[in-house]
Parts: sequence; C-alpha cells; structure tokens
Amino acid sequence: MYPKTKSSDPVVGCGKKSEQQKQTGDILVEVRIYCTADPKRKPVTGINVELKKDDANAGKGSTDSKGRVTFSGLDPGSYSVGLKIGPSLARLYDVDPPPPAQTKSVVGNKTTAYAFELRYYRIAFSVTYPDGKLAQKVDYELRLKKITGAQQTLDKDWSSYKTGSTTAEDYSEDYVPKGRYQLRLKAVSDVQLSKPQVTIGEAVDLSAEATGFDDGTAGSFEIFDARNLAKSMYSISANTAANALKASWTPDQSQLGSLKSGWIVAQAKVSSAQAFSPELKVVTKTEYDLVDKAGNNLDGRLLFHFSGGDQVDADAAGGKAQVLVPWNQTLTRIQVPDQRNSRVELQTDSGVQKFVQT
Amino acid sequence: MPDYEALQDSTIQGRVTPVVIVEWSRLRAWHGDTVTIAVRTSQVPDGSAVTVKILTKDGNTEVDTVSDLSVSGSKVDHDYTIQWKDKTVSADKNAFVLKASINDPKVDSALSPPLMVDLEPPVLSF
Repeated sequence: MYPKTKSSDPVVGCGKKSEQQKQTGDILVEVRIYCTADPKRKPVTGINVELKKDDANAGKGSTDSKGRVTFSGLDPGSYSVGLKIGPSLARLYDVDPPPPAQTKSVVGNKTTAYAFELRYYRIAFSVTYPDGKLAQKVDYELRLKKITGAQQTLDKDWSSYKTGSTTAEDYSEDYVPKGRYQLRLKAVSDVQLSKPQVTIGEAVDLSAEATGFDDGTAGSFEIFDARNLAKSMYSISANTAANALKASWTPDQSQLGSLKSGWIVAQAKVSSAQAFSPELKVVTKTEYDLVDKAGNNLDGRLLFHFSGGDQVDADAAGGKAQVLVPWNQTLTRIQVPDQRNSRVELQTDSGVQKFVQT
Repeated sequence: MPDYEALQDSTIQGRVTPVVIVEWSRLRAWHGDTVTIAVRTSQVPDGSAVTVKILTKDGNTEVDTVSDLSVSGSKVDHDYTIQWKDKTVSADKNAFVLKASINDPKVDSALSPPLMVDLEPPVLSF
C-alpha cells in the first residue's frame, strides 16, 4: 500500500513537476510622441528598446506600429527598460538629456507596463499682406539658435535653418530642433534720398531698408529717368549692413546724359528684391551776374522763369545770384517781384551771361 | 521691416507691404500719340492683375481704364494710344494722371505726375 498524499502537501523531489509550476511575467513597453502644438499622444514605430536585469542585457526589441514592444517569459525580478536613440532619431526628438531608463519589478503571471513619451517640436510661420491674405513668393530665411544640454543653453549665434519662397499655404515643420527661430523676409523697401532734389555736383545719400540679407550682400541703386523706367541711366554699387542698403552719390552731367524729363527715381536692388524711391527733381546750380540800368550790382529777391514753366526764387547779392536751374531748362525771364514793371534782360554783348534790370 | 522671432512650438507672423507705382513715359503728348504706361511693383507676385485708370489731374474724373494687365518681373510696360474722341473730356482739362490698382494683394498707387495732353490743335495768330 502507498500512503495517500494530500493535494496540499508540498511537492518535492520531482524536478519535472517543479518546472511546470514556475511562473513567469511579461513586459509591455509603449513609446508615444507628442508636441506642445499637437498634444495628442501618438505611437511611434522603430524606437529601439533595451531590457536589462542586474545590469546584464536581458533582451532588446523595436516598437511596432502601435508604438509597442513586448518581452515575454521573464523570470520574476527587477528589470530596467531604456530607449536606445541613435543619431537619426535624436534629430527628431528632444533627447537632450535622454529619457532615463525605468526600473520595475516583474512578477509571475502579470504584465508589467513601461511607458515612455518623447517630445518633439514644431515651428510654423505665415507671411501676410496688410489685408490678411497670405503673401506668396516672398523669399525668406529661417534662422535658428539651438537650445541644448541639461542647462538648456541657447546658442550664441544664428545659423541658417531653411531658406525658400512662401507659397499659398502657411509653412509648418515638425521634428525641428528646440531653440529660438527668426524669420527674415528678404525685402527692400523705403528707398529715400537725403535731399528733396538732386543737384548736379552735390553729394546725396541714398538709403533703403534691406531686410533678410547677410551684412555685406551686394546690391545697387539704379538711377532712372522718371519717364523712362525701362532702362537705368546709372548704377551705384552698395552692400547691405544692419538691415540697410546705403550709398553716397555725387551726380554729374555725364551720368544723367540720357535724362529727358528732369526727374529721376532711384531703385534699390538686392538680389531679386527691389523698390523705388519717390520722384526727385534734378537741378543744376548756376550763378548769374545781375546789374541794374546804371550798371550797379543788383540785390534782392528775384523770380526766375524757365522754359519748362518752372519758377525759382533766388536772392541776388552783390550782383550775383545762385539759382537751382531745372534740368535741361533754359532761363526765359527774370522778374523783380516788388517792381511790377521791372524785368531783367539777358545781356549778351560781352559774351558773358549778364542780366540787366530794365 | 523687422525680423520676427519666436521659440519652437510657435507660429511666427510675418508681414509684407506691397507697393505699386505708375508713371507716364512722357511729360507731354498730342492726342493720337502712343505713350507708355509704366507700372512698377514691390512685394507683388508675378501674375497679379493690374488695372490702370487715367484721370484728370485733380483725380476726380475718369477718362479711361486699362485693364487686363499682368505683373511680370515686378513691372508692366503698356503702350497706350491717346484716342479720346469717344470719351467725355472737358475742354479745359489738359493734364492727366494715372492710378494703378491691384486686387490681390490689395494695393493702390498714388496718383502719377501728370501728362500734358494737347487735345486740340494750337490756335496760332499771325
């Protein structure tokens, strides 16, 4: 006879039966990504996961389309799970510093979950006109100062991140580096000359806003006859500096030889960006000798009339008057404003331009 | 025009201001002459439709309208023949200006400097 065994008796001395009753656990690792601009968590495929037990490799895997990887049949114990992010993925996600490994206890007949979240960043911009509509074909440069390291240090200098031309849609890009972004629109505007009219032989400063270009970018000011915008009469080279294009110009007769209208406009150009100045009148400073009937030098305010209909005030002193003569116009008469019947006539006998009050 | 800056996870709002200018190619013309209407633009995409109105110098009376123009290379050069016999133009008006308008983007030019047009033959005395 054999003794009966109770079901509650411990089972000993039977190796096969002992193995059948050994209990193992599972690990489910989930990796999801999110962005502040799009906080909904989304699974991510292809993230490498490493499993360690007592600092020894216990397994590895890669997340599937649901962002998951499972390790099964694990002996109970403490397991560490970490993400292995290579350089290609490090460019997409904020892994500086990398997400820390997680350590948990795995028990038999249970699934232990490890959850990781990776953050990514987005940058977007839109360029609009004052009426709110999107501006297309505007050349831009997107620049970046990265934020890196545990101390979240901002780069000192800008680096060019992207260049292009705006389209019919807003620009948006995911998985961009963390940092400060600068949008530079490549544009030229507000072309100005420092004087209200251009005088032959006198320097005038030209300036324009020129944004979005590196300092030292080559540009020019093109001088046009305001009635002939088809062809530039003269070109002045300039380089951009501090978001501006500046040059000094001393016009002479030869540069404006084809000017017919007597008015110019300046076009500031940098790359394909350009803008025009307002119209400016061109004048020549001319000195006239003026005497009265008795041959005395003439003094006082005079009104000079020119062939194009222009009238210019000028003061005569000691028989001389400096007059800003409109381009290509000839003097037709001189009026003495306070003496209604008095006029000044050109005396040509001496061969010198001399005007005599009659 | 400023540079626009923002941290990641932002939308940067940039703005550009379109500009259009318009000029006659001459200071003076006879009725029947062909002159060029020159339009120049900045921050206006190629292909934008331009309409040019010819107005009396005071800007109050429209004499003619030139439409179906299109910006190409930031400019339009349109030859225009002054044929206003069918138009109502006051006899005392002899200076005419231009105004260019673009709808998309919305921008209007300032009035151009005037073109003096001799609508009638000169009266000569002997």
